[in-house]
Amino acid sequence: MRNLAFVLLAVTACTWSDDRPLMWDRDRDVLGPIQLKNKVAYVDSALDRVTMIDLATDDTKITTSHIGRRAIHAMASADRHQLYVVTRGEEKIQKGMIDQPPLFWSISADNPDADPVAYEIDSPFDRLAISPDNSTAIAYFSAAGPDAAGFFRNPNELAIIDLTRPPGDDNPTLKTIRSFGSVPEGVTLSPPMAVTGSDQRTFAFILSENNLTVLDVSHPERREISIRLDLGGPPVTPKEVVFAKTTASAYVRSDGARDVLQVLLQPATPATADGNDFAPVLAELGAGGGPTDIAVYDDASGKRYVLAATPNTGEVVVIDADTAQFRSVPVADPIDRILLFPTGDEDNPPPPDKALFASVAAKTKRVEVLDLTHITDPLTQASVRTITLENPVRDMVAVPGRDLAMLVHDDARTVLGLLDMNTESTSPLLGVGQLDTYDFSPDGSHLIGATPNVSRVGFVALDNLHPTSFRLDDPPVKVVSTTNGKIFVDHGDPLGRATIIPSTDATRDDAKVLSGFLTVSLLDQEP
Amino acid sequence: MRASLALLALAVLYPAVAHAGDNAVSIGSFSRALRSNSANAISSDDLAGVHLTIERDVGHDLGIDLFPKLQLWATATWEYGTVDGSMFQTITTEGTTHILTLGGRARYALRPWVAVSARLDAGVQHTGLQLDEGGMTAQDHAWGSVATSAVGAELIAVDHIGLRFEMGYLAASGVALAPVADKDSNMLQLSTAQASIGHLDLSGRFVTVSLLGAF
Repeated sequence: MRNLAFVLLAVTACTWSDDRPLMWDRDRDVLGPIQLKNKVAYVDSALDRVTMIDLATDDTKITTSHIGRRAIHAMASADRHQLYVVTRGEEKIQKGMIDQPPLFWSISADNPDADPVAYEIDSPFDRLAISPDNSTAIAYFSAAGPDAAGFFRNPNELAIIDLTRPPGDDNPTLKTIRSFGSVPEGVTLSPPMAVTGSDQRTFAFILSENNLTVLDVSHPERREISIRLDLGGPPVTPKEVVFAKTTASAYVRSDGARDVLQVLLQPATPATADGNDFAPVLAELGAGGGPTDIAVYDDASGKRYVLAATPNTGEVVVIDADTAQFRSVPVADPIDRILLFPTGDEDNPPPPDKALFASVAAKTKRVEVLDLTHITDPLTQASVRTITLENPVRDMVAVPGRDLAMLVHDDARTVLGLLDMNTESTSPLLGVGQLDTYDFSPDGSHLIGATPNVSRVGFVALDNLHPTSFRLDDPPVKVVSTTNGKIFVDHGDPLGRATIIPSTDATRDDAKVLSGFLTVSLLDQEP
Repeated sequence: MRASLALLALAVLYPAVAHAGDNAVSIGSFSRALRSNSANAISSDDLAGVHLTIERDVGHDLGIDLFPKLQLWATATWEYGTVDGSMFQTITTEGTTHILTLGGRARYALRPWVAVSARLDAGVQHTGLQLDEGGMTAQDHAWGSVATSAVGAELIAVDHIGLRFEMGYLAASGVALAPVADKDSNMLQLSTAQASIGHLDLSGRFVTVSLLGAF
């Protein structure tokens, strides 16, 4: 009997129950694919890791980096060398949870062995603005905020992160800006601009209804400067900021405003020891009719001009940014999209000689071309040529590095046109499916498009508009072209599945499918 | 579960034709507690299944007589187990194992109707893993090695028919898996590089309950 009791006791002892680590039951949200230089990144909010797929060589490499709990937002730097992620953090409520504050992560795409750098931002910001030179980041709240967690949320709080310094007590700097009742709808960081001497700094332009806030992020401890936009009239919402770094100025287009606002940052004597050493000088550049789109360019002599479309007055206005003198060119259509040609190098664009206008909201069947070469010469007649199209224009995009514009003619994005700016002629393209995702090859030689209904990637050679396609094994969700010309087609598989096409003229023998990369080494991961 | 019931029914019927002697057959079910990190990833449940063991009293064959009432048996076991679960509340998982082992059992009869035993086995395990989400299915399987140690007790009822209770530990090598999506085999597929999901380790303590028949 004692033996039987021993057996029963042993059986009972064997039926113990351990808790499964909580991480395997967490909500999972995969952010990506995020296009980097020669890599593609995904951020997994359940596994708390970044997965990078290196496409630099034929031998595709997968690397992972661990980040904080619950990623909520991710974006690449403008040069695509860095990946930035905001993690929500966690409260230690149940076993397996940890106390972790919201963190901002900077991850190098060039050095996979480098540990991600975490900056403690204290609030769960869900939007990021990154300066063009990767020196500064600002984390802020979207209008809705990340979630309903917490008790109070300050929508006007910002975390200013100096990415050139390691995290510390003074980095990031948390700051609440004056709001006048509105909340930030966007933050734009300037390129380095010299206001006083050769002291290059970055300025943040914070856009909120009726209010534009300028902040010297190189000195975040200094007070911000608020610029009221409405002056008691109808609401004015800043929408777009374009910078002229050589003159330390910004041009702001706002919904509800009559003119383009020029904000010229000039040296000023600080009123106090920690006061600002600059002051914004404002000028309304005489668009006069509520600009719907603006473009800024330098002509061959380096003189800066602002091109503004003002449908209310039926004009396009070319404004000398230095003198605010302007020239109006009548255009009957309600223009709301401006593209400049040639596009050239993004960082160092050539002086444009043509502007292309479209009326996207009005869905007109026309686009207009304006010669810019002698547009400021009052003795020269402005030359606006109308190009009549078969279908209305729903979207218009410049092809990088080419004198071509892609016109989208229907909401389903099945009917496209390519406008050659040299010959000012259009060529229609018909798609089998709608162009849900597209990219251009880095040299601008091909348009690459796909739709989830069709297991193909379509290519259009932009030299001769010859269309080809590549049969896929699975329906595509997103296409991404890397800087080395490879095409990465994501299939939306939760385990990770992508087709890697080496080039636009590759055959199926050259391509390969990479599968399971989102769960790579998942079973070897410690909870 | 249906297979388990069928095998149990077979076990109940089998002793009717069994005779007392140097051979034994046991059949039953087991539950293995999976507590490795990798096993926790695929399920919070224990692995459950059935086993079939055939045994031969080799001590008698070889004339080994260490102690009175101590018998040495050679064993061969087949085991099938399965476990279901989920990851991240969206990916459903299914792990399966087939195990083939050879080993030995030392059996000591305390009373004519009670015996205790200890066994050591070693063999191979075929581990399968299937993942499903949103209609997408991926699966893989691989062979690994296993070793088992267990102690047990036998209650003999009538005519060499009895029940065996065992508890022990199964040590399994982690097998590298790379689940591949099910595809239409009629289509020519692009060459695929499959990333490994890691090593699945289904080691764990177990308990078994078996019907035993000697003949």
